[in-house]
Amino acid sequence: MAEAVNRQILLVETPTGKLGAEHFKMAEAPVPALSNDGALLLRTHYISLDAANRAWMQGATYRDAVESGQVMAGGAIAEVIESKASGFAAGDLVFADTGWQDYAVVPAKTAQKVPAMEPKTHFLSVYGVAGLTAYFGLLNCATPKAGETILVSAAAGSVGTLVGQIAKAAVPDCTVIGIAGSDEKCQWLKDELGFDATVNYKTESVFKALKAVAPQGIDVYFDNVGGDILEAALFRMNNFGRIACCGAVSQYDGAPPSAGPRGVPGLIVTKRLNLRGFIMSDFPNEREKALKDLERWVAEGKIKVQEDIIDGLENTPGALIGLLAGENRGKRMVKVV
Amino acid sequence: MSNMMSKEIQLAARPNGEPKESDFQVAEVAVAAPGAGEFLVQNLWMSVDPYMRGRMMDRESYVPPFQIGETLQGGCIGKVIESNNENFAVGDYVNSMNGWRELYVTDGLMVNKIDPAMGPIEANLGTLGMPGMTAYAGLFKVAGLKDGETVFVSAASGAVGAVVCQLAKAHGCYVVGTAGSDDKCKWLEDVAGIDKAINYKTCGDLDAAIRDAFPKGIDVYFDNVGGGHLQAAINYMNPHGRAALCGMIEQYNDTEPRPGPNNLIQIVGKSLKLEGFIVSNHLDIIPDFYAEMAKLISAGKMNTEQTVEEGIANAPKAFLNLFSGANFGKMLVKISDDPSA
Repeated sequence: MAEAVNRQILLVETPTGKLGAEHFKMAEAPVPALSNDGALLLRTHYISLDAANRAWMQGATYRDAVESGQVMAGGAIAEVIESKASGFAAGDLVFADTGWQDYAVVPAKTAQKVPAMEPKTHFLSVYGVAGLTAYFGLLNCATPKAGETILVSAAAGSVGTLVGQIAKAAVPDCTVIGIAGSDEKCQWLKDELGFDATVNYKTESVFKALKAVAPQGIDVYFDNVGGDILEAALFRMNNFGRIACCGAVSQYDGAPPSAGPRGVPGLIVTKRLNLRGFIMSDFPNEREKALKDLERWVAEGKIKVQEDIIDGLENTPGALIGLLAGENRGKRMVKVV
Repeated sequence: MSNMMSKEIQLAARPNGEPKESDFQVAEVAVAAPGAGEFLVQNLWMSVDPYMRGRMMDRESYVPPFQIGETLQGGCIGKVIESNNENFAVGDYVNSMNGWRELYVTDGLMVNKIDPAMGPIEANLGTLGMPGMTAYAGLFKVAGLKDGETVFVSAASGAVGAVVCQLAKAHGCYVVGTAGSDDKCKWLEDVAGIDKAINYKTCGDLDAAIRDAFPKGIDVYFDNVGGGHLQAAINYMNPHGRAALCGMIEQYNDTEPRPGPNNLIQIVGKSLKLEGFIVSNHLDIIPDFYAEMAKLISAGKMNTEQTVEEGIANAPKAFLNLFSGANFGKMLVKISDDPSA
């Protein structure tokens, strides 16, 4: 392994506005040595790309902020090259925060063994963060009931495509409405993924369009974007509606907004709404059931898994920038080897 | 008994922005003698509450709007002075929504007897009434308060806030509240016994004051005001924190909805829950509520302040005072002395 080089993508500057290629640079370093007991040397295979990657640059959340000068953080499917931890052996596949690099040393306690599955990319999509996020947010946070109207924003994204399909699989007689950023995506959501109606937020007033496609109002909103679309949804929510707050992609890439949505707290009080933020790891006890349900729905054809795979570590910054601009359909990831 | 006259307060005009005296009018209304199954009530006390501002607008909400030229409604305590109803005897004290008037005749629908042994009868409009139940429902049912957590309360010396503060203290919580005068803050610390009171009008940077008051962060926020308080609370809430959203007195008089907090993104990062509620959706708490309040009242751990205006004609003034913060604790109107007491 002496000749191997570890290519790394560093965040060279914390962006204050829109994320660009200039905020990253490629560097080369030696493959790190494994010295500590309890650590693993990993070879990165597939890097998961998520809107949250951008949020990590803004400050500490459920994880530390990514600072400039560091290797950009990111979860990945990786292969164990060498292990100094019990329970892990060379050749095992794990999910870990390798960051955007060919090789990484991580504490074994932060790595999670990936069960054998084909294709293994499904561990980053339907059986990974995206699938469990969609499942827990919709079914455990927003608790939709039969016949309700369910709205999801960023509907063509990794989580959104799954939210709509999980709703159709799990909630009898529900109406599913997706918000996406192009007519083409909207058509695809209806034709391929079974959404009942869609709104193109770039060409329509979301408030008016929601009134037209869902005159009965919205019972459940799975919010991936925050901002103006959240505001429009608040004004269209029914009494006792539930909002699963999963992300605020409209606010990750740029300066913080000067003002928040109108109707907070007024509409939340008068309509008795429940807004609940969550991350996948809030539901450790539900995980097994969720994975079983997801496997069954995939096997039954109720979930069509959408993956958007970009080739080459060097293309990772562009892949994230594109994701923030909404160019992906389904789960975006980078194949490193 | 021949026909009696009841002085009543009606909505003369829909307020635009801050309500004013001229939005109200006094009328003298003839009250017929009670018929079969009916009884006559003389009102003794009535409540004015911020939510009434919402009903003065012509819009859909959780209660229908007041109509111009009709007598307003609101919580009141009265005494039965004539009765043809076997369930209500002369001398019974009753609670109803037939406030803003001196007298009314009813068949008993939506009228409840109260127990004068629980405390002063007017407490049924405050600590033992809707404001107290709102405090209880918000803390325990909506926010799921656990013993020993940290609690932030806005409008803490108001009718709801004061009960929130003392319930939370009784559960071993660290409690910080905001109020709009040094007197109110002193009462909160010395009488209600909270850990720290912040005068939001003089503290300068409210966000920094709240941050400094919560070195361990906020587990539960009881929001009575919205606006900058809600924004700051979100900034300092702990992971898995809960906010019970109960009102927004800062904003009741707005003619346009104003922008909300610009930091809602933190709801995601910290797995926060924000839930709006109205006490009437949580009436299952009532038995637990009375049990806990009786215990606290007898132990001297549920103190209240009230501001009283005398006479039905001063009811509009009492209502207007809610928005200037001139009240201290529960704002009441004493309509009449107890006829037999």
